[in-house]
Amino acid sequence: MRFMISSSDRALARADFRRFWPLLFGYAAVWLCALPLALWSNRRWIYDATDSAASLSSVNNHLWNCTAAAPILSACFAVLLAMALYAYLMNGRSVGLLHALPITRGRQFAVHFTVGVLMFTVVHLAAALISLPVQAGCGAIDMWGTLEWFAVAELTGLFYFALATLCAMITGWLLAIPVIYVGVNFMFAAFYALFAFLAQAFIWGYESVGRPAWLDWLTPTVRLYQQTTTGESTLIPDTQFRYYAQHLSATGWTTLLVYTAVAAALIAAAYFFYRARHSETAGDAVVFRWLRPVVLYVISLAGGMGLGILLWYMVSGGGSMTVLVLCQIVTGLIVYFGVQMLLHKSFRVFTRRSWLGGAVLAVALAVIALVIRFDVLGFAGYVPDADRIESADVSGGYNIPYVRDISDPEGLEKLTALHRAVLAQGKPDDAALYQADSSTSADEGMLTFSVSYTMKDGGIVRRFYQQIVRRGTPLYQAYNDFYNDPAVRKASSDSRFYLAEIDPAAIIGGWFNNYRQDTDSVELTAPQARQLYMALDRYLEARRAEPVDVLAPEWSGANSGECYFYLEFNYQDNTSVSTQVPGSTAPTAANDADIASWGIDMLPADCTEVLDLLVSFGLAETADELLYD
Amino acid sequence: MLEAKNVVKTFDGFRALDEASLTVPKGAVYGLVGPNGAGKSTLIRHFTGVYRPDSGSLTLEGQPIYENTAVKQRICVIPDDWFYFSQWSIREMARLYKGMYPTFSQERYDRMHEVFPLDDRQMIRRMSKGMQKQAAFWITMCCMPEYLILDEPVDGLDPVMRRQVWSLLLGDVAERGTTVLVSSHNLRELEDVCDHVGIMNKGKVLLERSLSDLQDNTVKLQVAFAGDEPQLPAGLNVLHHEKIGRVHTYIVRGNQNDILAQVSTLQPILLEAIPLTLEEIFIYELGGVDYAVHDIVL
Repeated sequence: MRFMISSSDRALARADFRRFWPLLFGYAAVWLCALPLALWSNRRWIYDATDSAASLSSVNNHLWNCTAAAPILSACFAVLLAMALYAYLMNGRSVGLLHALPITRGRQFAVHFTVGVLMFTVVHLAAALISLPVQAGCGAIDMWGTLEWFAVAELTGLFYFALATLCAMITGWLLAIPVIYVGVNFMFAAFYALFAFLAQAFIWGYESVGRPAWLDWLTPTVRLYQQTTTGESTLIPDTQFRYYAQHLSATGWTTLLVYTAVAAALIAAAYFFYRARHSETAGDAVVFRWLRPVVLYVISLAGGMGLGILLWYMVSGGGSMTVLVLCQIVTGLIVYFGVQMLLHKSFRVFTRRSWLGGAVLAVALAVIALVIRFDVLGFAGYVPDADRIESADVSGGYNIPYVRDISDPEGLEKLTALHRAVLAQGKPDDAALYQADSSTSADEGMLTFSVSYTMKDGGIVRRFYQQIVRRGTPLYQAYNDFYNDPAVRKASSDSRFYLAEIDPAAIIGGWFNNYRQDTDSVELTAPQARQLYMALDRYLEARRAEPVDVLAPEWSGANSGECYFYLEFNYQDNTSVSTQVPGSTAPTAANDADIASWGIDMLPADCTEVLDLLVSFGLAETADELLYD
Repeated sequence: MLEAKNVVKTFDGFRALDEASLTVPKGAVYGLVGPNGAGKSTLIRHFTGVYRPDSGSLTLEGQPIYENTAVKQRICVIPDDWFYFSQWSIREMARLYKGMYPTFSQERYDRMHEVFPLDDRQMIRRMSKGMQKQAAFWITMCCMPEYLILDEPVDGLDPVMRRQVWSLLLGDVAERGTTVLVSSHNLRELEDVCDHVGIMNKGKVLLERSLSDLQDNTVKLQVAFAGDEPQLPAGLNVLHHEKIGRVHTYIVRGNQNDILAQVSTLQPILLEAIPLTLEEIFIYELGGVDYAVHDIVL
């Protein structure tokens, strides 16, 4: 392909601009309103004559909001643009005109694509340039924030336009372009959600891992939105107060660059598809013969699985696997023949060959359901090896408190032993489980156990079980071993053992509130708060060393919390959170920004050192005044 | 010279062109005729580079047409369903063609304003079908093509405008040596303008010859005999025979003088050779490939 611009290229480009300027103007209006105009209309709140850093922070906040909106707007505009620019390929008459003109298909593709890129580039450039004097009028120019917005809008625009162009190249129907575009964007997420739903319904303990990283990458809209809404806060230097600016993180930039590289591949693919497609395929749902079975079976499988689940719930309210398989086959076949009709542009699709394809689809749907039902992939019995686990989070209600980031080898060994013990006991039936849950016996209880392993290879494994614990069983032993592990105990968020890690020197004060007295909170001095914190630390450390019986009534929360007061510690937080969701209020002053607080109540009555200190500070006459009456 | 060699094109299993071969000599006005569905428009779309053949070749003076900008700049086409951008006027469409065809003549465009009584700033979609056809001619003729390909070109034009358009076309043929390939069902009209004819049926080009060759090679005789019809001389290739009263009409393939000499030996009381119309040639030639005469819409 030669890149010298000919008069034909110019004529075609002019034609595109003349025909689609309303689209260009519409997109320009959106960005001009969202960026310079909105900035200008908010200038009275942004402009701060006394502190330019405050203005800069607010301008940055506005730009960051626009950056977050850019991928969504780009995604919408790109598909409209592709529909407009390549609409001629969808009609026999128009494709006849354009392809009879003395300009090759390759050049036509290049011209239309370049016009598309120019259209959104002109808008982005205009919005960025106009916003600069407006920012100056608001008291501060955030050049890097503006460039960042431009880069995000431009690169996401390029990616989405390349994707929409590729979608346009494979269809001969104008309205199929957005359908394919949305489908490609969310296809993998949809399949994953269907699989996870069925696995959760039929595999004991299986819990969806949310969105694994690979799925995010295959779902560009999610990934791009996520990365452009999660930035990094950086401190604006040399200011009286501490102001922060939001910027794209390194991961965000990597994501953008990866999708830009993908866009280059998509453009190349679209170019070859354009050259390969036949003009006479205008009006065909899918223009390439080889692609038709792919489209047919992908849509039929997704439709069969998704609609089958819906029908399953309508027919039987969930439950029987046989009914589910039948429902999926019925809906799969309906979708299959529907797609056949669209592909062949005819209702006469009930041929022997089609029925054979339908039979293949039915078998595939049944196999998928049975693979999940009988756990052929081995999800149910899988317990990862402790040495392959990076960290683990555990939770499960009152009888297994939330424990974050278990990463020490001993703790992980005990956790996987507990996991294996839960599995070894087998899936309990619902009646026995209910009985154990409502039992008041000290020898039996119900364990609700939710675990999330973060593997060293970056993968995530999640499981959720409800199991009966009986005294003396291997599960009881494993449960006690796990819970009494010192590291686990320390990491636990159980209020009877948990103390926020605060450097006592950073404590700047605190508050005390005696619930028994109907009075206001009393402010603690820094030394008082520090003494109380250190006393608490010693007390909880001692408690953590005491062994706990997981089936003991005291442990199960029946008697917890005999103290009846609340203690709060205020401290200087040097580990300020570095990320902030755009749209949240930006910090305004250092005093507020860096002060954190942590409070505790429901302490057991034997925290005598803490009680004595409170009495010595004059906050109570006697320790008894601080206990629940 | 425009040439198609053994062109095959299949649409979803239907063979629209079945090894079609055709040659349009330079400077000729070539009429492509055939029944509905014969493949004329499909062949024309191949000549304009819109369709890519499954096999075979299409060339202009030896150069392939498909995806060849230099060659396509020498060809202009007016399809039977000429496309224009719905919001555009003649002037805007002309501007597009001007950018595409280096030979586009603005001077001719301005002059032709007198020939075509149209407002070139009016949106084309607001015009009648005939006016849209005039617009297509106006713009296309201004491209000054060496090769002009027309598919049902005068459909929708009134008789006066038809004559005007043909006169313009033939003027170009005479003055600039423009080669014209025209497909039409209106055989009477083609007969007046074409010097070469190709007949298509079922995706094949059945025959192509100069019109004079065709007319010289087939004779229509009107003969009356004094008594009963005698046995015709052996060797006469009679394509068709009918009798009205005592007058026999024969369509005979062969040289007119030879045929007259042979028939005169039977001492007819009336013997007259009448020139065949293109319509008759079309009917009798297609009769040989089982094409039912009554199906032809003339």
